[in-house]
Amino acid sequence: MAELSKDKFIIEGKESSEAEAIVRPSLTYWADAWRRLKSNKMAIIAMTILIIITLAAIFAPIFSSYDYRTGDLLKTNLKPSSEHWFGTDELGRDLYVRVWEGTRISLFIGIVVALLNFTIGVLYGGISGYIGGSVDNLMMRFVDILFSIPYLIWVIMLTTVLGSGLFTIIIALSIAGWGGMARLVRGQVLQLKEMEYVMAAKTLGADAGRIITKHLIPNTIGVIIISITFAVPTAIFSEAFLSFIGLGIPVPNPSLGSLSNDGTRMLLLEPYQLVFPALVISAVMLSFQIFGDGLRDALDPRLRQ
Amino acid sequence: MSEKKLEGRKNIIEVNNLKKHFKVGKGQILKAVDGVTFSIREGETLGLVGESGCGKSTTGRAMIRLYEATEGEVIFDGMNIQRLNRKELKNFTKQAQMIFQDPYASLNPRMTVGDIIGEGMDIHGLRKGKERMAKIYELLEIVGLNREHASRFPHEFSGGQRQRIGIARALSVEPKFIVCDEPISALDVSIQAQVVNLLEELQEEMGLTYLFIAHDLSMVKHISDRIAVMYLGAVMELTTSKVLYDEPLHPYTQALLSAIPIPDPEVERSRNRIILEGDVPSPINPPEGCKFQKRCKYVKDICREKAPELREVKPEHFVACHIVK
Amino acid sequence: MSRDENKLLIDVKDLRVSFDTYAGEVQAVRGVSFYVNKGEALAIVGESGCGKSVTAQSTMQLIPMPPGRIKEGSVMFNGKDLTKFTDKQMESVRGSEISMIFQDPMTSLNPTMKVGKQIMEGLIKHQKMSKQDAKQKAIEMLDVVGIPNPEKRVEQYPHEFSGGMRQRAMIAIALACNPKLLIADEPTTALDVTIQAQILDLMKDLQKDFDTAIILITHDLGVVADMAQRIVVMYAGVVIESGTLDEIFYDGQHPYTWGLLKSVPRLDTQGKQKLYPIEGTPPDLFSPPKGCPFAARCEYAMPICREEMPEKTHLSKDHFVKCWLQHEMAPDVENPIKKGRE
Repeated sequence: MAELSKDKFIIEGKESSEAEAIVRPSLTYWADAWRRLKSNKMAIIAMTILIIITLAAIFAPIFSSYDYRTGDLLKTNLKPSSEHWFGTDELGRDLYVRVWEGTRISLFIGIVVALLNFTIGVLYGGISGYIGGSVDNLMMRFVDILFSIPYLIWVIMLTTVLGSGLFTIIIALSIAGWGGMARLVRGQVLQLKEMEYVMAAKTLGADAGRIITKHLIPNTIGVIIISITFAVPTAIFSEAFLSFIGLGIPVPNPSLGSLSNDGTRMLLLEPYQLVFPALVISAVMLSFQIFGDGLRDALDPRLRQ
Repeated sequence: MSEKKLEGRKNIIEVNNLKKHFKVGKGQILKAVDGVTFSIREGETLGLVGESGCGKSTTGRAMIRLYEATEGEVIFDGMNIQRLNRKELKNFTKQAQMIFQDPYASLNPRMTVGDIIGEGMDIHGLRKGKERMAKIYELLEIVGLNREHASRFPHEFSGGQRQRIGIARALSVEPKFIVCDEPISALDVSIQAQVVNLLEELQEEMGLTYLFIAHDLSMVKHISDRIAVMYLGAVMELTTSKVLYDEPLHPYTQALLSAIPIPDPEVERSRNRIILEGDVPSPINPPEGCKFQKRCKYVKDICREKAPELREVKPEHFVACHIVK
Repeated sequence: MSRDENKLLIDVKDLRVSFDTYAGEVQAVRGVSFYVNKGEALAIVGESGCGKSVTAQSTMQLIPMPPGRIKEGSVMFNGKDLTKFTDKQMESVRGSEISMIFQDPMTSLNPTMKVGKQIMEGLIKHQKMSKQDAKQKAIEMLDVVGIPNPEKRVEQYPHEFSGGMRQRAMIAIALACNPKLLIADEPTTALDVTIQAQILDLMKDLQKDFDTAIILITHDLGVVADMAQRIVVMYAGVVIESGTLDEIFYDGQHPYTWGLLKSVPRLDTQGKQKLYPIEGTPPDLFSPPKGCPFAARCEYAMPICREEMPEKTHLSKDHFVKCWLQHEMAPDVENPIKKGRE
């Protein structure tokens, strides 16, 4: 240690700016979540599959020369070929177009139902949780009652009143579905409103609107998004099930459920008619599940380091 | 620092027979605060100490109307805060603020530090745009942080830094009275001194009045002019901090003082601790009579029958105990 | 008690522990060495984030791996290196030879299991006791830690216990198998002062009665004054000073040690004393400073402090400090903690 010189031993004291410096890069909640999601390979693959399927559902029917309603009775039950990629059905309709058209309708139902659930559920659950007390009690008992009626009964009841169709299915699935979201949001709000930062806002004179929009919702949004991600495949599957048992989308409109139903009838003769819609529905379900799981890991604050 | 002259100053806040009871199901009632009376003078720091569950935080929260009182009244600057209308209440929030205990739960994780500090100004429409940012920077500097911190999120800060952000938030509306609800309990001892020194400096510069709630008596002794000792929802002893430490009269105060470790091995070796038996009883169904009787070694028959009143045994020295003459 | 090879129980050498995070490697522990003799109480003191808990947890391989990893160093316990142990081997050490109690008794007890059963678990597993014997021992242990009605309490669940009682129960679980070493990680931080006094008293008695060595981890020097024989002061993942209780309290040499002692108000002093806080915040160990980590907060910092980490200076058999003020070229500085006592 020969190079130590006397001038290195003069007391100069602390430097205040140095002592409070933050050296880590700043990271917002969303950037952090995205970073985590990116590192989850399965979730990214699932997300890519979902994007491809969505794009196909939107554009494939547009760019195809076939129409999903009109068939060519001379070309029934054709096997997949360069002309008809997925083959044709017993009425000679092009299955490629019908599968993507069906996917489009299924996705539409899934997303609309999930958004309706979200809107009603967040409002209802938020109000119930925020007010609390006997109002909360009453509102939640109503949800319990609504929830105790299976959605199949709603569908049958609504079909008799409104007739079968897309609209009926969306209404029925929403009625049966928003309660889950409401319960989730209520639970979150009940927990969050006891947090000290909410109390701090009250102490500063914030009104209910401000507390809900600035403090409660932003802190529940992660959980809400995860819940929506799981609500979409649930709705798609419910619709598929309804169409499969003949309570769903009326002909000639296809949905993944009714296509599968048609496919099963020809299963022994022409298995490809079931394979394609079944593949798409499986891919959609699985991808949503995996993506939802990845999203939960990325957004759930309890797993944050 | 010299002792502050407090005689002759007017009371900024008065608490009269304040009670706060919570229903806890099955018809049981939790008497968190059960008849508390005291006042705080302008520019003074009143320390409120006691163990967990003694009702000290509930008292503080009821004093700024975060809780509705079950009984009794809180008079702030001549107004009964229970009777304020919406507009008056909003105005009251500009004058009375709070600093919270948990530096992790008291800042909204989705807001930037700048927005957290600016929230009070936004709510009351005090400052906008550039002026608002200038005030935020000024507040950050007052609490020893710097302006670069305004765009950061709470999770990037340490406990002591977060607590200072909480102080800046409270100061943003320029209050007169601040309830400090255990602001240092969650911090390391070395960081506690930072926060306490900051609070003292702010008091001196802005003439603030504090209610300082804590369970750590050594810090409370340091910061407070007078101290109230609470046990199970009632005030046991109330006097100046010097007198409380030099001649504590209530057996509970004596035990509490004796339990505090002193960072000096020689003193510790020669010290005789009063170790209290048992735990703090639950505030659900507290004992009849004196609340401290179950752990008091001087207990007499009268303690079990009648709750002692808080009475002035010497000037400025109030004790609620049958034994103390 | 100074270092004595015959009495040596645990000897940690040059322990380095890192965590891998999004921002890169966080070097939580950067070359820590200390030892504990049989039956001795050692305190590790420092602010949160200084690596004291990570150090203790690493000795028992309790840090989550990944993101954590022990990069270097050895933990010799009774002559065997614990860092080389497999999970299976560690299991037989944990709870029987080394036990740990934590800050929060609420989360460290299993809420769905009777307290008695939680004490019995270790006894049945490590000491191969029969159920009857284990239960008898559990009742005995609850009695030892001062829980009234142990016969009744043994059948109760943790939520029926108060905070102080839970910490007592934790101690009973930890001591059931008569371990040679008890690691107490901030055991009283979550407790009220009167309960803290009870628990510290209890730990002192048990140390004597059972001849258990204790590593007490705390940020509060007040707690230490009554408990420990030796003190290790940690800052930013390194040991900056170590010595016997009296050497640290009355002859501490590191400015950080001074800061810790001066920032605490004392009940037994007259009049209003000024507090000297340690300003600022400990450095982020994601990029530890090149020189002395305390330099940024040190009143006595010199240019050399920011450039190079100081070496150990031995002041007595037990007492050493890492500070440039000890260097012969450094100016003389009055020791503020000595001054206060004269």
